[in-house]
Amino acid sequence: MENAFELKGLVKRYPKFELGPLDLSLEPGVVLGYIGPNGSGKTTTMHCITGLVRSDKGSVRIFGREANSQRPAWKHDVGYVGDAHVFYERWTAEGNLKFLSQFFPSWSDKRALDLARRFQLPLDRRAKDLSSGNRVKLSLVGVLARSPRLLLLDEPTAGLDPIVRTEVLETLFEVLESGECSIFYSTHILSDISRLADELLFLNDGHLGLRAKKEDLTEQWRKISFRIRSGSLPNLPSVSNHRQEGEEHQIWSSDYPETLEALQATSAESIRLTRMTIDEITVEILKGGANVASD
Amino acid sequence: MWHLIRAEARYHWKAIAFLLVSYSILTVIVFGSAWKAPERDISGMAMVGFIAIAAVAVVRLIRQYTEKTDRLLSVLPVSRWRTAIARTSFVPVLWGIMLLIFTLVLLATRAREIVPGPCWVVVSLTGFLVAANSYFLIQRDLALSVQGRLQEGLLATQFVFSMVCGTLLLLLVFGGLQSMSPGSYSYRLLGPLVPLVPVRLVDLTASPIGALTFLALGAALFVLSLVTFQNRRSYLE
Repeated sequence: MENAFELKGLVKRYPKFELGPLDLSLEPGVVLGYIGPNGSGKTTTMHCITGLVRSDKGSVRIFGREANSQRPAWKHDVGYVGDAHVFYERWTAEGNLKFLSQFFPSWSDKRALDLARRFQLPLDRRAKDLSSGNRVKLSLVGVLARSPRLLLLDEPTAGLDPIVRTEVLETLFEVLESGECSIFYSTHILSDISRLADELLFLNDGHLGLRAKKEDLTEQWRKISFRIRSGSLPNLPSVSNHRQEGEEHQIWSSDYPETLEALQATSAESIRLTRMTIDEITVEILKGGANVASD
Repeated sequence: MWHLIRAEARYHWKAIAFLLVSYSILTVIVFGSAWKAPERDISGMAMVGFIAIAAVAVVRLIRQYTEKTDRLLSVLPVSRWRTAIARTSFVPVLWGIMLLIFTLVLLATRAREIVPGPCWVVVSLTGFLVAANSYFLIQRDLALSVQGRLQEGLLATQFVFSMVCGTLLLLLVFGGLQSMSPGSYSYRLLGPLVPLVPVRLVDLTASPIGALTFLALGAALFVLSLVTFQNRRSYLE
């Protein structure tokens, strides 16, 4: 089966920033969280995939088809919701949806109405009069009503207040959990994606880092607390962070069996392991930068 | 492609309807009853239509810029060529409809009996309108093709200001060319100062060679605008 998308040697250069080269693929049906700090190149990656920005090098394939601007059939398979929600501002939400529906044979009016109802989107209101939350909802309805096989979500809830953000995400996830589409979800707020993602991919300063299944991360990472009565902390493998209070130490390990084995060979006492949440792990990976991310 | 042109027409339908209805009424009045100086009235009415279309075109371009329409259209499954043709064709299509009204009214009134041959001024205006419309689109494409310009943020006000100034300048140039006909007030005023230029200018807008030159210029810029759209580095606006 063809990959949902495949990037080969993708490079995009700006005067003060360079993304890539990126070699990346997404298997059908997988939800991949694309995590990175602000300015790391997440949005640029999305723009290159959708063709909104022309890359300087490399290729993009969507379900086996080259993402060619003159042969745009591949766009039927891609739904993109970015941080900017662009509409015909003086048309109503319904008018905008009607406009979009002409271009997608897979469009379902019934699904659009269902989604609008579920999102409580006021269809009779002009786009320019919609609140930020409703603009996000309109973008989502416009994309989900045509059931794309690949969904690219680029911080779609950026700029929303926490209540609206939660409301939008809850509904979105309910809709998506029952679906079969591949999702590439870029964010720097992990809680937005941790529930939905099968895998996480880290991006730092334009370069891809660690890619791992969510379960693998939660299995491998531990907080390890222990006491060392004399001497300093020995050199331990896979440690990303260390805190000390007197004789008490706490370390964050990205491969706890390995760290534990090395620790047990020292004079450490009262060793306790604590599971880490995916949010904590992500923070550690991002803080560790390229060193940890490229392990 | 027609979906896009139709959508644009629907989006601006109030302005278009107002324009076409008021222009039709005005044309009927001028050609039907106030017919005195055939050449003046024909070129004058064409000029009125031209200015009205130019106004709609400017409003549309500003709106496209501020509403980031190119970004919206770029994610649709429509090839870049078709999108480019649709965006550049909208104004000429509107002008075509206006010319159709112009011609129908002309033929339906007694003015048809005294039409002094082919209206080269109207052909010149057509070429000029296509050229001006394409020029603004090219200018925007080029701005978005320059690496780094987008990052620093091409100011919307900068674009709008340059477009309004440019349009006024173009209208002044064309209006100037138009009014320099021998016998006109501006000719009497300026003619002695620039003795050679006015005659040539009159020849330019009202002669077959001038009209074809404008038409060729319009066609060339039209094609160039299609090419620049394909080669933009970004469709984010």
